Amino acid sequence: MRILHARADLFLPSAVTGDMAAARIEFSDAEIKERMSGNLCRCGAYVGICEAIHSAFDREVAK
Amino acid sequence: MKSFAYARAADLEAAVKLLSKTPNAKLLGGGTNLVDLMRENIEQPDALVDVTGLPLDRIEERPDGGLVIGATVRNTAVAGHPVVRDRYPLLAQAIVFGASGQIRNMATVAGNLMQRTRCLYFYDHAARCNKRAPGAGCDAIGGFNRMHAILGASDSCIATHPSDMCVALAALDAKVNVIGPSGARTIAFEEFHRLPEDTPDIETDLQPGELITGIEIPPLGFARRSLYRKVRDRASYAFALVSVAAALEVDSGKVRNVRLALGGVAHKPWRATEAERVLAGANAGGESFRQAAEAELAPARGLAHNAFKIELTKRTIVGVLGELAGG
Repeated sequence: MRILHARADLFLPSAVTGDMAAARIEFSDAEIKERMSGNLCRCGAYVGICEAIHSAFDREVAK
Repeated sequence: MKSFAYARAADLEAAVKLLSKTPNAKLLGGGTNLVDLMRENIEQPDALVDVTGLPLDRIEERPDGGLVIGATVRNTAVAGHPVVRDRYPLLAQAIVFGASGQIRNMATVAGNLMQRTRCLYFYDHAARCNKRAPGAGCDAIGGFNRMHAILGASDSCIATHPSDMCVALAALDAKVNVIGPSGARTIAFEEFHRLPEDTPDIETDLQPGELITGIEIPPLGFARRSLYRKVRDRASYAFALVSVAAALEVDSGKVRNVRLALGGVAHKPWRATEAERVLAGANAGGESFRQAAEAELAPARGLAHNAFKIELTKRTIVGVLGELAGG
């Protein structure tokens, strides 16, 4: 499982996280869309934006 | 946008002084609502008193297990606080269900309480609005009122309070600490926001020259089992049609403790005291939950476009309590 952040004190839950006390939040499409809400456009380009965030995560965070 | 004076308050005393001595002054926190309203010429203050430099930006744990949240703490900081996430999950949830990340990073706790309605007629200078221009009339009542109040509305105003966070604070029996020219006092959350009656331009119990210093949240052990559910037209970044904040403690199949508050239904965050009364000691099951919802919504009145919210609210109450009861 790809984890958004392992340290609860450094990362907030979002509206789709469910358990507010969760220490581990899965890096998922649902989390990306919620966290980009307000930025993410509502036309077809958001699919590409989500893919770009996934690949940036793999390159920069997951290693 | 009208020009205005700007002053940064050096300390609390200076803020109270500036606010009470400057004619038509408003406090500036994160500016996420006030600045928008100034751009639209809905709010036209002559002066802004910036309070973001005041030492009101801390969250403190009280010895009894409660919390005191400073007025200028950003919404994100509240939702991310380990004690809030652990002991008051409904509050963390209510916050992350509101606005967007950027807005929550800027918006303050006191500003959240003081935000104005999103009624479109309030924003539209071509429409009549008793809130914007007292005595002018209300074009929402006979207009497009799908988002409007079903409880506690008046012939003057049917606007709703837009906050998510305040619905959780109402359920938690929070208190609002304020300070003004005649000293400090504490206002029960229930009494802080007003129903519209015939003066919908007066929205809170704050007196001239008073400002909010913080919010007190009492210890409430059973709030660990709590939930905020928001029903809206879009999955994200939209105001509530209806929302429910609840905490529930069940003992041997009976309701031992319950807190319930509703959002999107009234001019203020609506504490569901009638439902709580019905639920006290009742079986923790769908039938009692429905009875409680029916009792709370008995005085509800629908308008041309928002009558659907009555049944929607009842079902959301039943759904939230059912989830908390583990059913």
